[in-house]
Amino acid sequence: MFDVSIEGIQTLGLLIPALPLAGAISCALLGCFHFGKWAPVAAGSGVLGGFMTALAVALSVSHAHEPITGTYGTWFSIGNDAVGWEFRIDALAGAMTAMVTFISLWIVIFSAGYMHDDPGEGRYFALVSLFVAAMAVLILAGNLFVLFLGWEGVGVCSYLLVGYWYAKPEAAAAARKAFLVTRLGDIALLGAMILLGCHLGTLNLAYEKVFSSPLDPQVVFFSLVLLLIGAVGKSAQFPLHVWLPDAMEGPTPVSALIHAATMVTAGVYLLARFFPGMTGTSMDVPRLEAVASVQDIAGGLGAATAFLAAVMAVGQWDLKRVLAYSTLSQLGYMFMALAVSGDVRDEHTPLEVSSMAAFAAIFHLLTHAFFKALLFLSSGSVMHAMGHVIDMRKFSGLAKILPITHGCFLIGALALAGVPPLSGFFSKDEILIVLYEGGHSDSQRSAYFSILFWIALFTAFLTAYYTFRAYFLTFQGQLKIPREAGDHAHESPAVMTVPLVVLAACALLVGLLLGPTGSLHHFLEGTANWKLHESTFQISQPMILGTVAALTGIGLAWLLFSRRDRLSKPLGALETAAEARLYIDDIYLAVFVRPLATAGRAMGWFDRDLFQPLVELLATIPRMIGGRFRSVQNGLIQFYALAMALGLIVILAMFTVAR
Amino acid sequence: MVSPDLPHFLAVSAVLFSLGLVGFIARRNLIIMFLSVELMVQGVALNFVAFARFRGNLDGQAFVLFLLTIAACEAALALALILAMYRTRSSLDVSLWQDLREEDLEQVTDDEPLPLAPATAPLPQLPLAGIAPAKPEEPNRV
Amino acid sequence: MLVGMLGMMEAGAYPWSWWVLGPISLGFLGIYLLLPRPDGQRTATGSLLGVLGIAGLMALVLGGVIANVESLTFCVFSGVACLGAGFLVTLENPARAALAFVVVILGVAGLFLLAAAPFLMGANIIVYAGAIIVTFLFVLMLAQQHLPSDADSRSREPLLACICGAGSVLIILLAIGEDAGRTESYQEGFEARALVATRAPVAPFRRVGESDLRLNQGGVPAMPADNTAFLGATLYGRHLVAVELAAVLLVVATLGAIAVAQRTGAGGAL
Repeated sequence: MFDVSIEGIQTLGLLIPALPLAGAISCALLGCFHFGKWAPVAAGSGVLGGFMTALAVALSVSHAHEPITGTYGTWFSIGNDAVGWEFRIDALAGAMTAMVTFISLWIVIFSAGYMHDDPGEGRYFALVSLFVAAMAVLILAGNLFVLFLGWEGVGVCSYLLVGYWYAKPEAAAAARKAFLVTRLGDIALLGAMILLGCHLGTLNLAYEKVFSSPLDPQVVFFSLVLLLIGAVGKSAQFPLHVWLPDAMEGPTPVSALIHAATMVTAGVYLLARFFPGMTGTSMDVPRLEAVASVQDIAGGLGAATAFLAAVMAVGQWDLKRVLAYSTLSQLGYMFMALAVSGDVRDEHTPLEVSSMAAFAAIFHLLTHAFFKALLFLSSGSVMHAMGHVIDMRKFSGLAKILPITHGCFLIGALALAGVPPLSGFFSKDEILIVLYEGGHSDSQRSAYFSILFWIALFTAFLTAYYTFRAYFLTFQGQLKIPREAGDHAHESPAVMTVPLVVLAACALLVGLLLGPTGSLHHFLEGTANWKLHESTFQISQPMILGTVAALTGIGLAWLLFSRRDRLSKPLGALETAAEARLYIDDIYLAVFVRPLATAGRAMGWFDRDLFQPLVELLATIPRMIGGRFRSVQNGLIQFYALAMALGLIVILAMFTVAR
Repeated sequence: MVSPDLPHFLAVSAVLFSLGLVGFIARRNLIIMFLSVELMVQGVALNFVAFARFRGNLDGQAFVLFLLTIAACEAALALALILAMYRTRSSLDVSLWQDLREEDLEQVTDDEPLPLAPATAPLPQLPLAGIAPAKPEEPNRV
Repeated sequence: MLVGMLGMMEAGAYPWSWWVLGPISLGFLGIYLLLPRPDGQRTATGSLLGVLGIAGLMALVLGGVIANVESLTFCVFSGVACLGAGFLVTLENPARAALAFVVVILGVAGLFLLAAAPFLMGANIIVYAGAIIVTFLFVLMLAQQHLPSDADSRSREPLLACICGAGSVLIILLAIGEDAGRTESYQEGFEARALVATRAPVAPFRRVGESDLRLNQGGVPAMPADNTAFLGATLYGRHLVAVELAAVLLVVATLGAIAVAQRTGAGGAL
């Protein structure tokens, strides 16, 4: 669409992270000098600039089928290998950055209202801008080192923002938990880099080089497994999902930006890059088999997460936690989609199959970002009005006093449930179709994909149910307002409602514009290593099934929650278990944390009661010797001078007499 | 030998330096200690001048000028400090300043008694007339 | 009777000879006896031993050679300086010690003159005897004490201090001797190499390309007073930055002295 030279695109690509970074620095400086109230302006302009450049890049790379590589100098060099600041700008990166910066922009604007008068405004906006910059680096990275930089950057920002209200013990604990759990994934990513580096014999881990190297199938398998673990950690998939619900201790806009829309999708993005890439254009069967086995694992984890998280969401009373579990569940969908692997079937090559799967995942990622950010911001608006109370048992019937928030939340909930023609419908059905087709092919895995399909379908039903449970509990029924809200419960100011409305419009339209028209499909064809066939939108069996599941879920929620006693537990024991997060956190506590703590105490006992006396015994020797000479330190300067002069004479004598 | 050579100058400066060292270590009056330091500086200056002479360039003499400058600064500051210290303890005895010793050590004190002060002369009384007063020996040392 | 220093150097027995050890130990024994102590100084014995020590050293240094004017004046000046130093260290009364320091300054100034540094001689006398000592006396008047006092009538570790001093002299002489033993004579060595005219009343220093200042036909500055001109050229040529820094240092020291000496409680800075 745009015709920009390659050099121009490279420069614009550099600007995408650079402008938010500049915003972050100016916010930090403003915060330092007590101009914190101007920080939203600085952060907003930085992110706006990032969005403009990202949009320009996205529009101008769409027709380029080769990825544009920008190298901006050498980062570091070891021996003969140099690791450069390499960006790889293609359609996928363009679409992702445009989405990230767009949502960040509205979230920054929302935050300007939400964080108004917070004493740490400068810090908050600096971190958000820094996060956007790091996310852009992650997406645009052209080699694994730069990717790792962005990966860790978003991790650090997430940690700092979850613990933003660090004086609150829960927030500090949640930040620590998030950091430690994602660390497991980060170590796996580092392991993948080391493995690939060892086998390629170079540190130059540019994607192109990794994809085109004739790697051993086993190396492909293990490096992909490590990448998968990294993605599982970052995207909070089972069994590393425990940090995400706790991360809701951060400010709500942060939950919307980092823990719903962008950072947690980094794992999906990484796999969408590497699954089709590692398959390569070759038809090397062992290698395809290796990639496919990793995809199976990813699908299994995704299905487990999608289903378990949906079940857990059913019993939560905390509005933000419901949304957090739904995020887990939707990310599980994306992982399931990525699982559809490329057995040779029909006239499609394996690359086409896995590209189609990756497309479905990315499509859902994009639409999910819009409606999930919308839902989180709406809940933030609710919190704002309710005096930071988020327990759904304490308020209800808010539709009357928060009309705009109510409308926006409803649109987001419908999109999340997958009701046509909202955005969630198209993307979720894309996934269902991919799984359905996988289940109906003649490959050996078709039974597996069928199971995944039915899990996905049931999860779609659960999703609709818990989303509308939350909706009915919050916005319908008798008006009830918690004491904390005081008597000033009112609709949020325009600076907060405008982003809601914009995102609601997006949630409403994005799916319609990108899905059935095939425009996103057409756009992402430009992604290197992806091979997409023209697709046409048509009504299919999985689509109907999905819609029915969604409507059933909504109907059930309506039956159970719109009339009856609001605090009942209609599902009984299931809800109790779900409220306790299916006891997974407790199992982790019992299996990992407690034994480690016990071992630590044992070590402490060894150290304190066994070794310390020994060490102290040794320490008495110098203490005794020192005690002999203590009296030399009598504070008289002339003694010191005498000692110095005598010492000097002895040394000089050593040089002259005893030479 | 016809005239003094470099080693002779150096020997003299060594003697001056060492006497200054002895003075600094042994004497307890702050001012005398400081004078001893200046004595050591004189020894060093003599060293420089001698080297300048026998090396045949003037850098040594230039150094001595800087030495004089530093000595002047040092004297100003040290005397100011000595004054301040005198104000706090009303004595120039350096042994009164031993607060930096080990905590449990006793203060070093002098147990030998000081000799009696020489009796101050009585104020002169004029005789009635005629006889000149006996002139007492000057008791006042400066 | 006395063996010359250079002769001893050649003999290789120089540092451990009794001719060296003797005067040094005598002198410092004298100092030890003379140092103030509560039960009275051994004035007579100490003075005798001190003078003996200085005389011995003098004899050693001059090596018993035939006296000419230069070596005699050297002898006198260094004797005065050493005697003054002895007085400075041993006199009980600080004011007298300060006056002894003036004597030292005068002796050293004479030695400066012998070492072809007439300007420094003047500067030394003016700065030390003229300025610094006067300040000392002022301070002494401000901080007056009556004898006997702990400060003046006692010494700290006199024996160790004297051993220390003796050791220091010995080591330095040893180093000088070892070094001198390697070359026959500094003067002769330099003259042989024709580096500079060391016999000139002023050590020549010339900046490259500068026309000679008042040189006689031998290429040697004519008058001793030219030393000042050459010293000035050195200072403001090669050492200009150091001169500026010294000026800054003087200002800072002045301010510091004012700040420190201010009475506290009177709204002073410290």
